[in-house]
Amino acid sequence: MLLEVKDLRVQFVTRRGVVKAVDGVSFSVERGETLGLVGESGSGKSVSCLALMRLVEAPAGRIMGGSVLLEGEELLDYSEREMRQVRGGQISLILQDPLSSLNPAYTIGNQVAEAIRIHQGMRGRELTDSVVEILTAVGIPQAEQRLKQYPHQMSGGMRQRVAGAIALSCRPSLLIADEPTTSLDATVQAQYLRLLSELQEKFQFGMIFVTHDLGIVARLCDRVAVMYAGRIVETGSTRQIFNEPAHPYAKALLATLPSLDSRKKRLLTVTGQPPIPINLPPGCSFAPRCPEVMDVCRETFPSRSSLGDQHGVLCWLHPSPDGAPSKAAPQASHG
Amino acid sequence: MRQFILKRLGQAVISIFVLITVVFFLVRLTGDPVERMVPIQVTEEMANDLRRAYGLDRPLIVQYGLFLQGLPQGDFGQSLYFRGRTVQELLWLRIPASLQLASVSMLVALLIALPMGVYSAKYRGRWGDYAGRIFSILGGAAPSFLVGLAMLRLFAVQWQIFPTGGREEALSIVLPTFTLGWFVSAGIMRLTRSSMLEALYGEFVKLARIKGVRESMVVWKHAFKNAALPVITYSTVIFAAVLGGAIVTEYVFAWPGLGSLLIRAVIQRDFPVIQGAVILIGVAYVIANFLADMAYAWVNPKIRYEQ
Repeated sequence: MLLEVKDLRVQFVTRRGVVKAVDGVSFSVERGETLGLVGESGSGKSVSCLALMRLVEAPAGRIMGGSVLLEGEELLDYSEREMRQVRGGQISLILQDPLSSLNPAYTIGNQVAEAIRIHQGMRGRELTDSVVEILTAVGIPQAEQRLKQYPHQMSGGMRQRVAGAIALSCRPSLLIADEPTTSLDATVQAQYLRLLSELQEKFQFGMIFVTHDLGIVARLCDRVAVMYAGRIVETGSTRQIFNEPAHPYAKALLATLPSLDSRKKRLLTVTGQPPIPINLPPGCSFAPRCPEVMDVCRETFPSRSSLGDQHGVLCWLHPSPDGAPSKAAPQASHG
Repeated sequence: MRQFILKRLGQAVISIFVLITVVFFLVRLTGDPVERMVPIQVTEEMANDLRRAYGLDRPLIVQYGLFLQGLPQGDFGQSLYFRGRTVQELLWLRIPASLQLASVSMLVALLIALPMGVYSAKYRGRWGDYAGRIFSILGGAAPSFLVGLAMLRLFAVQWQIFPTGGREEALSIVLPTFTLGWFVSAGIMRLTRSSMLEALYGEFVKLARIKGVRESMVVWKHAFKNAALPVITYSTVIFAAVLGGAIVTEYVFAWPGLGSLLIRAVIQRDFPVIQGAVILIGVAYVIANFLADMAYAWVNPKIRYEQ
């Protein structure tokens, strides 16, 4: 197993109270595999990813507990110095917005080279060569001439490729892509996704793809974890989630997918707003928006039940066989 | 880049011309300089002689023309108060003192304000941040004459560590430097802090951390270079302001700079000296702005390529 996350908890202390942004999340990723992390804004997707790299902003944000095993090593026990070696070395992250994630004051070459220099200690000609190599690998034409360019001289698509090059420059074993295509237009988006798949084929990294776009999930991901209010409410293979979604939230998300079926005149939406996870009531956090809500949902948090190989859900519609209501964290890993 | 420089130079020339014209006509609204040059008992006839001698009897527009004529040679005319001395002479005498005080206080201010601003932003909400902000608020709010007098009282009179004024001893510069430097550092510190706060929450800073960059490099290489832009502009312009405008500080410590020359010229209605000093300060301003733009273009590659 490349990455195994168990019962990860992240809190933010705010003026209005303690936000349990990630509340007992478990999942795993194998080499060469892509896990889709799906959910609305504020469901805790991005925070979970940053927490894997231990980059939750202190002092407001804090990892409260759980376990993050990367190739069997507990990252939460690492020193800050050891963590720096992991960041950009073994785990990389592509941020959402290529416009603002590259530093406007430094050239492309400088920014790609920085990661390689830190992790592989290269200098001079050797360094330049590997920068050109990785830029070429992410499909940037005439990479050599582009080294001296600044981010603002490139298009959005090119900039996101540069961000990809930075992320992959040290051949990480795990790549996290946090909605990397949201700010790109549709054709560029398709190219970029194809590129990511090709690169994954080539370098065999495990990938966590964070998105709210189920269309992308269907094309790119092997498995899916659906997040809601800091918890993974359903997990399974992409086929399982799309063909037989069990959680009402997953069903609602799927219903929002536009289809070419002419009988549906309007785009469907999931009604209501996702809750801000401050002082959540004891029951299921989706209960207020759930079309299939029952009395028990408002009182007790459901425990995880298995619907077959790899497919797990947290919902009272599918009570776990032992029937014991649980406030414990969902175990949404398939391992 | 060349076009950029030429455009800025053009703007500079126009600004200075407007300044010269405004100053020339404004000082003439303050009253008749001859009243200050002679005792009250003097007859109207004698006063008229004086006016004629200094060309003050001629139509305003002719005086303006003559004034403009002298400018290319750096001829600002004769001082009305220091008889027999040219304005140019007087200015040259004062420039080194002003330049010295401005440079030293600017240097001290930057050395204090930059690390403090960066620290305050990085450790926002901690004890050190509050201390830094109090230091900066006091420096910005306390009038220079008060700070200056307090320093004089304590360090020069009470403990006699530093001289009370003048520029004769090496240590003379210490008190005026701190009076001025504190005031200047206040603004720079606050600007550095707010600008660093913005940069530190930027996505590119997050990316630097994701790459595994050391925190000190995240702060100084990635955040600071982006945060430096407004600080550079502000510092350069404030330098020009301090160069000619440290009037109160120069006055309190009897520092023989442009500021104290200007204040005396205003009191005596010494038009040519006022004009000369203001033009000099104005030119310093324009040059400082020009340098700030250059520095800006150097730090921010975006500006370099815009037409």
